[in-house]
Amino acid sequence: MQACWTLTITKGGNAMKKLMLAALAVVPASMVIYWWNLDNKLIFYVVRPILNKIYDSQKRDVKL
Amino acid sequence: MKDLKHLIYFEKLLAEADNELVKQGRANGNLALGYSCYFIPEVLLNLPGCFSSRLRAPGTGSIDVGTYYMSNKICSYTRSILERGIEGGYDYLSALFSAETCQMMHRGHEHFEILELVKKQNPKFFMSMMDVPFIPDEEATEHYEEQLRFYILDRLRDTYGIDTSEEALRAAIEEHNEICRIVTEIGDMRKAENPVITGYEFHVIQLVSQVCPKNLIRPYLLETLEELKAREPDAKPAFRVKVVVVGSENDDPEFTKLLESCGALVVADRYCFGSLPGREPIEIREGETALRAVARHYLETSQCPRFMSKECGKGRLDYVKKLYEDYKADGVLYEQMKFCEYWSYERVVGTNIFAGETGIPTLGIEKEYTLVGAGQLRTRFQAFVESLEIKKLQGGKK
Amino acid sequence: MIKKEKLSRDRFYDKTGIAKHREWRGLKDTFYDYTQWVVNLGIMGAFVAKSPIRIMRGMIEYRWFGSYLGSLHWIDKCMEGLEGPALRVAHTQMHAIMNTATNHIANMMKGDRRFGDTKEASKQVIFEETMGPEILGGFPKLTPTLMEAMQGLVGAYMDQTLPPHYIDAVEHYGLPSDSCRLSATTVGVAILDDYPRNGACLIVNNMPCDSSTMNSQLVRRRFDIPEFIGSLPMRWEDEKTDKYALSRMKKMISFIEESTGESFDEKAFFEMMEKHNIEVEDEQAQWEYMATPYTPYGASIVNLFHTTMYAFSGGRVPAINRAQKKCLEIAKKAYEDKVNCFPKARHRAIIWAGPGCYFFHFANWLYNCWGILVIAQMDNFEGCTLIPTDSLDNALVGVAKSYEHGIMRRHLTGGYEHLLEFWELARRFNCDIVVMNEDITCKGALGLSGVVNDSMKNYPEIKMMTIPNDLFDHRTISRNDMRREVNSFMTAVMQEEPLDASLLDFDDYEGW
Repeated sequence: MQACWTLTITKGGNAMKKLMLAALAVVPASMVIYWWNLDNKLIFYVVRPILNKIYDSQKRDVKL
Repeated sequence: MKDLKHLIYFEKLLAEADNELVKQGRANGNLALGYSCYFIPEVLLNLPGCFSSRLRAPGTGSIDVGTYYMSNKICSYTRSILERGIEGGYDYLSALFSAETCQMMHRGHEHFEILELVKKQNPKFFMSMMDVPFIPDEEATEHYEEQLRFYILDRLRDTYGIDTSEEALRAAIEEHNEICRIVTEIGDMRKAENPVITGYEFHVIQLVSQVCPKNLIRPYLLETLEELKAREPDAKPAFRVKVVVVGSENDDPEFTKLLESCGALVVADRYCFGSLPGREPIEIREGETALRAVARHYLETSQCPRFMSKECGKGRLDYVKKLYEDYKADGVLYEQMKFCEYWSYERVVGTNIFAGETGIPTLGIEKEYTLVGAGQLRTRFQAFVESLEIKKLQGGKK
Repeated sequence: MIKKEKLSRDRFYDKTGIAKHREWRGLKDTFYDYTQWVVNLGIMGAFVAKSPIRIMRGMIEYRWFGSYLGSLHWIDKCMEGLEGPALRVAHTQMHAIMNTATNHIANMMKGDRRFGDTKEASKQVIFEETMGPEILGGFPKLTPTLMEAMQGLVGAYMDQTLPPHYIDAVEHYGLPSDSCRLSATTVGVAILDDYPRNGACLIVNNMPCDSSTMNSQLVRRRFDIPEFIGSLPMRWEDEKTDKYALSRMKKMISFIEESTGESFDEKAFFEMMEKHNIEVEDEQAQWEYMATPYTPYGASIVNLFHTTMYAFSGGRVPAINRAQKKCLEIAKKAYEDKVNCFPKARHRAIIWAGPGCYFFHFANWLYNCWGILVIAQMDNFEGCTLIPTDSLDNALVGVAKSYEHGIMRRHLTGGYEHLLEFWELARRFNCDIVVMNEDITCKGALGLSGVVNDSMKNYPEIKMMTIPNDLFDHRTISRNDMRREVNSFMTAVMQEEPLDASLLDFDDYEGW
């Protein structure tokens, strides 16, 4: 019983540790993204051209 | 066809805003009251002691000063009116009645107040601006009536002592209706297979009925009516096709002459300053005051694109279709004064929706107040006339 | 003294205007800006979470929706050069704008019948701009949706390349290019079937002017729902028009009741109007700080915050008043501490008349390049009407007045004197420059251009520069064309050198 409890705490603690490590990694990663404007670069140079292709190829019900 | 006796005289009257009959009207002790828009009921400016003068700027050359005040991206009619006003061309007016119906025109009229035009000649001169509703229902009519009362009748009464009583209004309506009857009878002659009147001639007649005192122009109109009743049309008509002209401000008969020189006959004039609408008699219904009748009439008859309801929008297209049928036209021309917002959109509706739904051949053009670009217009008109002719020869209008 | 890295155009890629890296504002402000960026990401995440499938479908379906991917870039542009309290006020206001706008778009997608039947649609009432949602205050179960603001106006702010698609569509049918671009875009969206199919009913109107009156008549052809003409008097200063305005408001209420099956709740209406009034009062309190040398309100966002308040809130968006109150606290502290929130400012300016919407961050550029601090724009003084709450009739007339005083309407209609109010406002806010936007399609303003020019002689202490633009179409008059006009004025008339010469003349034609 005690062994199970210890195992649970250890597993939970490991998960918590991993979570905290991940959170700590996200912050500097986000700072890098923020500083180098990677979000906008991705959207403008990658996502936007793909979307524009989709829009340009759409058949719309064009009428007055 | 034999020349109309008074046509040259009418053309002379149209050559100046302060023409011979306007001078005579003022010499007779009457006030000249200016206006531009259909929503200023002509009849209210023709109360005893007054006469209406629908503003034109004939012979306009340079409009540099008007352009300075209003920029070169404003309709040239408005700029021309302002230019003429600054030059003193409207110093004969006792008042100018306006409405915030169209952004450009009302801005042009505001300049009469801002720059104190006419006031030097007549310190009592005023510019009165009213509100006009966008839909013609019961509340709108009540609102419009109240605006007419305050901004036209009360102003005339308070400034110049004009009689604005019920009796005076009814007298004005009677005189107005008489003019309408004469002009309508002349206009109906265009419905004939081979009309005895050209579109140009009618344009001139309709204009003089708007820019001259009614009591002074009436005898000439009556004579012209009788003359036309006896006139023989040309055995071989000069026109090849008949056209309904729809659109914005058009007070230049030279435009109609240009169109007709290309082989068209303008059989119906559905534009601002035209007779359709404009020359329908005002009916005072049972229980109605004269002013209410006037308010109702102008809201009901107006074909202005600013009326927003679906019914009004459809109604305008149905109206044009009816004119096309009644006047046995071959096509419809949508003309638009350059920079006119209302008619920019209505022209899109006309040349796309109207033409698409009815199958009626339709042409849309833009024009300036003066006939600049006449060469380009001529080319387009010629092409349109030819296309209508071909359709006729092919045996179907649709 | 706040230390500052000098702005330089080298931070941006040529033609696209995408930043190589974000702006350095010193450690404190840069970290603050980073945290606000995270908040913005959170707002966008929350937005997507509202209805992920429909929102993704909307992104794929609607071209205008795709332009909103440029939001973060756009926010950066609106923050350029700001620091200290000014940066904080701008971000606070921007969050409220983001919250409001994202909620709005989410609601549109949730109610979009194009993606399947939805009960949401029957709870939405669509308003054509520039009508705010106040009248819907009496219908607590209904949601206001703006017909074309997200597709046209705000879309143009986000992405200068968006409106031309719609403008070209309507010009293909013959609309001249001298017609108001806003209305043309509105119709173009309809032509290309790019409006969501939402709403229980539609309220079109004649605001602000002629072209809006006309565009409604074409746009309605796309909406297969009951429609009401919310036309209000143009001569709004004339008290004699109030009776008619009241009748229109009452008819509008009846129409909404008939179309939605909901009943007008007077109590709820008055509660909402109280909140509307608080928003207006807080706006007006803000003006007191704006007139001082310590104002933290300036550049681009102040104006947009106000128009967001007018167009979307009307008392119903709590985030707006929360932002107002927070900003007032920042302003109060800056005032008490005598903080010069815009240290580069050499001039104070009011921007007037129709702006180049494709150059939304124009005010930031004016500040960073020439040290011209834009205190306010014309929109700030529109839609600031307190609504009486003593009786229903008076309240409804008040709502009508709020609409009549709405964005663009207040100064471009109802009398020429309204357009000329900028002079006294410039004096009131201690401005020495007026930047007169010359929208080449705006007839209401163009019609008085000579009078405006003539009036300069009465205010010799205030300089006026006229900057042409084409409202939504950057192809006619580009951002760089606008910059060049300013540059000419500042060098020839003001005889000044720019603060940052790298910002004078550059190509950002292809970017958002």
